[in-house]
Amino acid sequence: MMTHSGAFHGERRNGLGIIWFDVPGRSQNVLQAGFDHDLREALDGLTGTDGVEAIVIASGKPHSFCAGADVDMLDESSSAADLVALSRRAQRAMDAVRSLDVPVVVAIAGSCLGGGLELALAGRYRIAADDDDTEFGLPEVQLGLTPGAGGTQYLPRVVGVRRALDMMLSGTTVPPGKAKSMGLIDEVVHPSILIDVALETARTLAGGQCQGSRPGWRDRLQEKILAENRVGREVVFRTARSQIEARTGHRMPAPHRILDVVRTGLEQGVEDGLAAEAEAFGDLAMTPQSRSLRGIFFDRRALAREADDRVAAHDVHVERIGVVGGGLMGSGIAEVSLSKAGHSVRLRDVDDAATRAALASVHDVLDARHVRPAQQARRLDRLTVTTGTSGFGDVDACIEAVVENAEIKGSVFQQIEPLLNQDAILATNTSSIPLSDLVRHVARPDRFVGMHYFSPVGRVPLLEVVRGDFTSERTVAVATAIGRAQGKTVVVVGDRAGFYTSRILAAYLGEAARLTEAGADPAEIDGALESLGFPMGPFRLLDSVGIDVAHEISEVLHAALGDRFRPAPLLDRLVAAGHKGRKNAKGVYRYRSDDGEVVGGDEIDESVRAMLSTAAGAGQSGPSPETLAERCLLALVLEAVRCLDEGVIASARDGDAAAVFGLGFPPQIGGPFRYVDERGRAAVVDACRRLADLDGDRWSPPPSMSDTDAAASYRMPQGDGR
Amino acid sequence: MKPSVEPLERVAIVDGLRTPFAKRGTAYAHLSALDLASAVVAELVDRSGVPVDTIDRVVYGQVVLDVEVPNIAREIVLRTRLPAAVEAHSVSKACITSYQTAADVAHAIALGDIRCGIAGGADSASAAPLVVTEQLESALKAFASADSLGARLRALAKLDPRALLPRAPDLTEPSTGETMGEGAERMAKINQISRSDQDDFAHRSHVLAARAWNEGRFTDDVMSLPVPPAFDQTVEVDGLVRFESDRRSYTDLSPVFDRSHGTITAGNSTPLTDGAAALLMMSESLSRQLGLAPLGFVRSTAFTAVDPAGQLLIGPVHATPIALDRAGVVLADIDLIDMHEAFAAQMLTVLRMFGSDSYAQQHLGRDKALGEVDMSLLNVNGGSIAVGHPFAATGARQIAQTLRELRRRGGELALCTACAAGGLGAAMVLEAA
Repeated sequence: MMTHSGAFHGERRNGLGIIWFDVPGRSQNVLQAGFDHDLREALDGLTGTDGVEAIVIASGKPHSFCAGADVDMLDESSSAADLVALSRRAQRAMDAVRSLDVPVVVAIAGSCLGGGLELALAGRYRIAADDDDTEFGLPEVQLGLTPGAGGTQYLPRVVGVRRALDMMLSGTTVPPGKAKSMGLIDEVVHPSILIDVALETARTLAGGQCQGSRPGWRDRLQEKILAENRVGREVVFRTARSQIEARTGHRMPAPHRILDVVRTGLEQGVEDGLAAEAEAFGDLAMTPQSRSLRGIFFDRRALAREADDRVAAHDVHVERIGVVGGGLMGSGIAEVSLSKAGHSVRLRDVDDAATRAALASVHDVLDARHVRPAQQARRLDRLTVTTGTSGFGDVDACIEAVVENAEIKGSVFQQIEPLLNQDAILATNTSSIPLSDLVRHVARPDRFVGMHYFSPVGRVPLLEVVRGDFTSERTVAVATAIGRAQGKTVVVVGDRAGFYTSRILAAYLGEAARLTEAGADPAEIDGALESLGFPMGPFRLLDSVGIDVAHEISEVLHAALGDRFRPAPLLDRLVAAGHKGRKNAKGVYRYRSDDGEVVGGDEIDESVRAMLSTAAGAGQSGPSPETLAERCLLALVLEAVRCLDEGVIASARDGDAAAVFGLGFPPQIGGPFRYVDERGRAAVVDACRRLADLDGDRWSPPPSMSDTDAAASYRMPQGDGR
Repeated sequence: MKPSVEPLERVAIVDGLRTPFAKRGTAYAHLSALDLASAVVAELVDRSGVPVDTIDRVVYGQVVLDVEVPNIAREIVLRTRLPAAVEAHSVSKACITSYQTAADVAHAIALGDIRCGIAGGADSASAAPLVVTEQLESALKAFASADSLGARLRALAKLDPRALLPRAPDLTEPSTGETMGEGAERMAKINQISRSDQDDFAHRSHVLAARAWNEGRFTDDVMSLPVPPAFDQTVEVDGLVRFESDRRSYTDLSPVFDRSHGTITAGNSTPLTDGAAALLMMSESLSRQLGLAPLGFVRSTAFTAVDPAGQLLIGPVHATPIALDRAGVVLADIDLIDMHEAFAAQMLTVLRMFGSDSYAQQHLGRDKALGEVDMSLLNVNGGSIAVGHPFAATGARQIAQTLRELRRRGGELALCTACAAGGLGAAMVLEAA
């Protein structure tokens, strides 16, 4: 007998009830507006007179228990008050489950996140499937929000306040094994017996025989510390607070609010805690930070869908790739191909020392990620190296990752392309040289594409796929497939010097270098941008990317795009003095080599100070941190707008996503185009005009900005354009 | 009427590769046989250009067994990019292990069971397991099965402290308790092989191997191996070959197995070695279909055994005539011979018996001897004494190396043969492509 109520439907089975969670028409379960009503109706059908002995809640979808609340729903709500009410309704729905007269067992297979975990927490007993898809987490903080359906109150009561804060403040997920050991779930079983075990357990609980494995001694001890030891609790909160400050200062309101709400609940009880949670949820959802973070979340999702559609349209399958050049980028590409995509890799470099260095670097990454030795060996055996030309005949794609030099790249193409089969694509990991300058070395231009990765490849989630005029759609699809398999967000860009990311980055770094001419201190400039949320200020980034590399890119851009990209004098001086950055322990900052490892970077290098003092205006008190940050940011924004005007990027969305995922542009600002929207186009145009009066034409706002409706926006209304 | 049995397929050896060999405890001290084997198979597959989904089977072996890797062949499949659907079995047959793996693959191809397979062997003498004494083993087992604390303590109480030390397993013949060196020493005495002849032979092996390396004859046979996990060196050359072999230096060495009257020294016997080798084999028709040019073909195989209490390492004398008969040829038809050099004493004994009518009559049931071996055709690029002998890898090394040399000289037929513990022997007649 089935009762249907939207996303939830009840089933009776031998005196037990099952609530199936199955949102129609979606591959993943999400909590949508009105879910509380559906859930209650399903519960009502199973309880009351003639009610069941116990209830199991399970998902009707094989790989998703519940991915959380439907984020789209938030953008339909117009006010904080609406969102407080939404949170209250969700809390009450969970309480309805929690306060049932009959025991509730939750059977979880697939991701169990946000509202999904909050629903699971409402059950008395939780059983998880032992598979790779199943994971638990409250990731709301990553969207600038707090959990809104009781998570801030009940998670600390189940796993202890310290672990709960870890999960909620980082937003990271835990796998079933760890979830069991921390007491979040009671049992882990093979997915094929999940429902059977849940039903059995439900029956036992109904008989009053089984109390579940919780609470164990560890949890009891924790509860004791929580309830009775104010000092212990105080330590936990203080530690968490200082971690938040160290990580994001006060840029991000969500972590601070989460901490406050947890504390309220523990000190004043669940009722007050839930009220505080709903309040915080409503406030946070209205912050620009959360709006941007949610926007970026939508951008990424939309790009993933588009990429997957592109791959599907061409029926592309990639199993094996070739990499030429085993340096930092080549070995990084090999590593993500082995570890994330499960490809086999043939890597070529000029000599044994180079191939060894590539293998060592892949090995070090695996080691650092604590990949088990058996898995390491398996991945490393799928990577073979050569200094010759064998082993490329069956690669689906060959990615060139040698130095950024058109002649050298050209000779590599001439050497490698004849080794490839007819279907294989040839990709270049150029960061600035347009494909049109390289294509003359290539016999089959339709199979030629750019794949611009970012360093470190294993950590930066963007892949810029560069489409030349001659590149076929299938070739773009193969490059996209590789990026997706490697876990990348893929943005397809046009073939102009610097493409998109290198170009806006060069504008930003160039402006920072110019500011030193006006007497600004590099550390001060870095500080100004880091406090906005850039993971590294421009000079730290310069040291990390390589000053020589940045200089080369500037020259390419200067030649192709004109004067505004002329390398700043400081950059010339640094290169002339042999400063390459971290890689030769000689950068803008001072480093030293310690056992082959480059350490330091806390202070500006003394010899660089000397270079600065030769610059005009050194020693004067420079511009304020706000001015420094604004100028760097505006230089980047203007370049992004020019890229959009020239069609280098297809949309403002692509531009925002590429800046955030490729360059670490602060996600709570949400990208250069969201920055313009948030600040107002008119205000940005005014600021640029003021700078143009002061400092020259390169600040003139492009006509697409200045000549259009001052109220026009790049990204509003939000949404992912599905 | 269609014949019920299709004519047998000719078996092609399409490619062969080995790691450089290294003395035990040197470059590969921290690698297992599986590590070495996976590296060589992965590189063989990549170099040959064979599509991985055409490989049906891997047959592989090791002699120094790793209790944690009972089926090394299957683990190789699972570690490299070979599809998980490639089935695999492992063989252990002492020093002729990879003769057996190659024969297994060849027979399966000839029968049409498979079309393509990888054969080979690897050994890490460095990774040889330590064993516990019998006394400790039985005490530990009693301890594990005891049901009370008292019984547990009693199980351990009787232990002699000396029994606690683990020991390296002896490489002895279980049936005779004799080590292989002792067996070879015995052969030297029975056949009166002089110390000086043995040292001459060992010197020859090093000189020829060094020349082969210097002339680039091993370039296609041997891969470069970057050594994990630190990858701080790439091994490119065999570590044991004496590139400046000096005949006089052999004389100074003391006999190892019989200190007073012996002739066998570290200089004239094969050292304990780490390394791996592999062969890519397929039916001739498949090689044509894939456009992969074979190195050569397997014409015949033969395996024999004698009582190890007799002449332990005489195997080639017994296996060769059978392989020649099966190939329908005689020794004089053979253009190139590669015979595994376990000890110079064993080599010189075997060579003498090749020419002995009386041995043929008494032990082989043949009227006449096989014939004298033309030394200009024997182990022309050195042998195991010089390049080393990772037990299970040697046969595959010989086969690939011989086919490439045969092609270099423009010959037609070659013989590879080896002796092994247990009185075993193997021989294979190969044909140029």
